[in-house]
Amino acid sequence: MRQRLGGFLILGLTLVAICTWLPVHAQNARGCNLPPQFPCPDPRIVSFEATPAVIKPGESAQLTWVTENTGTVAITIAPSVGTVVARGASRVTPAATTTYTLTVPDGPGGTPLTKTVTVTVEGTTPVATETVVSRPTETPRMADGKPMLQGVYSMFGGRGGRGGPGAAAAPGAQGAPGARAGRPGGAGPGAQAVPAPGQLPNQPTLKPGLEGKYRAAPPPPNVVVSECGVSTVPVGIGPYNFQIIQNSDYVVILYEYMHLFRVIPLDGTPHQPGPSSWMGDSIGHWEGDTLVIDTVNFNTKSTVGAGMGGGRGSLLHSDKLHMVERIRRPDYNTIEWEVTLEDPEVFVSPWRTTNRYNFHPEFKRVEEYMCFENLKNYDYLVDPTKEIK
Amino acid sequence: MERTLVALIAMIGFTGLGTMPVSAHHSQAAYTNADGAIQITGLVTKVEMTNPHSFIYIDVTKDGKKVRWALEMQSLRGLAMNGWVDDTVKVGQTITVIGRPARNGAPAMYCEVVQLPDGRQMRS
Repeated sequence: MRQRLGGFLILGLTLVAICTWLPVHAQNARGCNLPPQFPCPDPRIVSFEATPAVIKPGESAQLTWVTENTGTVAITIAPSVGTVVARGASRVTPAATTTYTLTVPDGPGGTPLTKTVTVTVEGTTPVATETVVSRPTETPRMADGKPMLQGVYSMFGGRGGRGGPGAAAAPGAQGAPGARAGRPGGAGPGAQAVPAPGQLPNQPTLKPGLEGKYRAAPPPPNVVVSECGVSTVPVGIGPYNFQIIQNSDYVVILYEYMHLFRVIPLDGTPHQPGPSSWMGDSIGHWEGDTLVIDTVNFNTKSTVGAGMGGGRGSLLHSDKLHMVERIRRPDYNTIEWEVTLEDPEVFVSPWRTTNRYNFHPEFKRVEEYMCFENLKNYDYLVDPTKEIK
Repeated sequence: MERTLVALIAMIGFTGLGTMPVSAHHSQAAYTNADGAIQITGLVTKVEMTNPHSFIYIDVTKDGKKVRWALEMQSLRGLAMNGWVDDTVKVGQTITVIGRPARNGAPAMYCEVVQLPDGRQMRS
């Protein structure tokens, strides 16, 4: 019996250890989460072609290319085309015969992979061209002089600092292969740092006595994201991209995650009374080169203080939740997003996080996200006897 | 007394198992870490190129018995960044996959690499 007891003790403790195990994504150099006996496939250039390969002066040719296993590395075509996606096409109109170079910077053994194609312009002499794309560094600007925020951004490699000014990530953080997304709006349970004097905390703290009412129950298996649960405040975009579209009257933010969007007037419109909503009522204005967005009238169904979809550590909030976002584009590659949240009815003080996201000129739009297609039957991950359909 | 203790210990373990987060974006915890990776070969029965995660289903035959496996992969963007298109994997193909299986023994894995019939390996 004592032996049986020992067996059960080991079983129980093992299961507890498994269940409390936090997934540490010890990805290998290429971003695969595999041991050395299963090496991650190397990037490769499958094809790089010009059609037609010979043109008359003033005509255009189309470059098409296919690469595989490139992950988050920045693929480039020089001259003139710039950073590109893994598979794509680009129209070029060279004035003289030009050789284009496709480069995948992190090939086998870390050596760059390159492939060239020449577009011959009849009656011209080949020109020497750059083979490496020089990426701009300066903050781009709109016609009205405001910083150009529009574009597609990702969280890859862009995890920022927390807790207010001065805590941001190193400038120019780039999309390192395999870098994991940060969590906007929260560092997760137990990760709260003691704020420096004069700085706000990076996590909300419930007022005494409100634990029972505002501590969100842990989501049961098979719910939240897999059942299209909407995100936390601020929007938990996770590993998905988001896109900003901008003119002098509006800023529109399109979140790939769950097809969420925000339309933010910049014309001095005050907050509008009306039904509360998941995304709240946002208005914006410029303070120098910083876009300031003020949001109120959130419904009380969303959560704060955890990752997207509302995970462990999620807290509910009242209808007094107020969010102020300060958005800057300090350089070509980066957008910086400072978020300050307060809810004086529920939390002891405001809290603040700052994240940096990487600009991706190669992406022209966010992807579709039809969550109903992902209503997977995950029961088999709880009960292995459940049928996989 | 001992029986109560046994029941208590088992309960702690299984309660923990029941709270394993298995929603789409917490599902990494439902699979083993890198050290548990395995390689299997099977016949493709269904391909779902979808966000938030894509899936391939394969029938794996072992000892004369056919078992359907669910292979969870990256998001659409993640696959596209590795060169995937809709017909990279087709129903009816036999593929070999490397990934981290479900901790609970279910025939499911987080698939990291797909080897196509022509031998090409794709990060997934």
